[in-house]
Amino acid sequence: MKFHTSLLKTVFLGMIVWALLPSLLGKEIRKISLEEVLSIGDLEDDLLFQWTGVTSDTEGFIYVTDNMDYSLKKFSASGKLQKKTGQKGQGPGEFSAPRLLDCSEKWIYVIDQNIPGIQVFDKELHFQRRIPMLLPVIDFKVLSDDRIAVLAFDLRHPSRVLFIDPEGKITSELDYSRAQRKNLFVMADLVSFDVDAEGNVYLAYTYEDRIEKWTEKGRMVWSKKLLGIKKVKSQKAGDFVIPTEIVYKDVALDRSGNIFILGGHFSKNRSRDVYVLSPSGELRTTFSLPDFSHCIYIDKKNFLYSRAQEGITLKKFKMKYN
Amino acid sequence: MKKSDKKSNFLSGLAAASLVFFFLSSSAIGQKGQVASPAVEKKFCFILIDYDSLFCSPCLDLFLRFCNAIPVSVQESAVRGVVVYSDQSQQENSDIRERIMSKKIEGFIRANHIKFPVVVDHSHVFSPLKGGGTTAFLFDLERKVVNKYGFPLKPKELEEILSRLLK
Repeated sequence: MKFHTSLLKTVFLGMIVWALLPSLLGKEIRKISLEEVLSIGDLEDDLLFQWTGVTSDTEGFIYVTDNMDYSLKKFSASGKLQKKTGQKGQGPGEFSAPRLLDCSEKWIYVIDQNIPGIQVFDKELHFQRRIPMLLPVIDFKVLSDDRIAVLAFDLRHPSRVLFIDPEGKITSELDYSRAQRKNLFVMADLVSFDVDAEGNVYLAYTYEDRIEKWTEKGRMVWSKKLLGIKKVKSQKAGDFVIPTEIVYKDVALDRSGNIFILGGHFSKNRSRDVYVLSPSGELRTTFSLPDFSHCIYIDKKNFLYSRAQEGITLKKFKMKYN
Repeated sequence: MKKSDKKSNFLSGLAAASLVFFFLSSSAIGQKGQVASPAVEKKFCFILIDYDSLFCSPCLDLFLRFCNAIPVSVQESAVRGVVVYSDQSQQENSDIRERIMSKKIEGFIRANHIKFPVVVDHSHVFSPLKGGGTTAFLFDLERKVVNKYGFPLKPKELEEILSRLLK
């Protein structure tokens, strides 16, 4: 009798594990649906005017940069404004065009389109210091209090993700350039990127139908095309040729290592379609955000954040797999 | 163009600007709680602000530099702004888009401490004047002259506008 009970328990547990295995391993996702759990900012309030970057810490606080009022804002997990800092300027804690932000255990990091470097704040939004960077930062990911991955706009070396220490010193770099660079226009290698727990780097090209996974040591693991696009429109600007159509706007990883790519001009639902790939690069499913967004962010608890009402609203969603 | 036509156009422009000043004085964004006099100044600056230029950092900086160069008292009495944008009334949810736009502009005005009244041209009355970007019109009623300045302003143009407004 005891043996039968144990056997039943084992079989039952095994069935549960088997059922959960696909989502645990990031495989076999057939469908993802979104359930809105939080909405911050609306037409009638003063919370957000045009948010540009979002991040969330382990306690559930949400941090947002707002381009229209040059600020960094902190919201509780329920969406209540806790604190706001910043004003227009070039000084410590001031902003000209605040963009992306990210956080570590202790700090909040903010980049500004017009001010070199990365500003560092504590969790109460007190300015701490600026990490010096000579070049404008296009995208970045805080890996720890001591390490940040940065994509800088560098015309001489356009295809590098730099890994820097808290002083801004480059400790290593990932060069993802292609051997043949003939006839590539300016910004051809512009990407959004994310980094997984093992240090692998995922690139979503802004102006090309290309998604890649690279090891930190510089080995390309795989390269995929999702949309069958051969060429994007471009125009001449002085001596340069500038692309005018965006293929992929952003990339984010979920807890299982699945890769979420936000599509741009070529998606069926422009700036709303999100393509979900497994860690091995297989397209698993596609879903659409309810509103246009310039970015997607997935926090450590697997909630997805995106834009609504042209940046006046920040939406937070629970993702339901299968 | 005949001299009489020129005068007629000038007077029409003047009438339009006077109306604008009157309405802007009483119901502009960012001026809550203020009761402004509807009287028309002898020299005033009417700025058509291109909505798209608010999202271009270099364009925005130049525009703000101009605003900051004008003393607050002169901004309040002699400057008026109208935000113009492309007519999207045929598009879905154009009402919501208008409200979104108004809210963003409110945030922009507050954050940049702009003291002159601003309205959004939701009726697209000034669309024919939208042209290429933000434009300032300087009305001098004493000299019966209207001058047009396209942004970005040259240093000499900025000097000219300020010296006329401050006289």
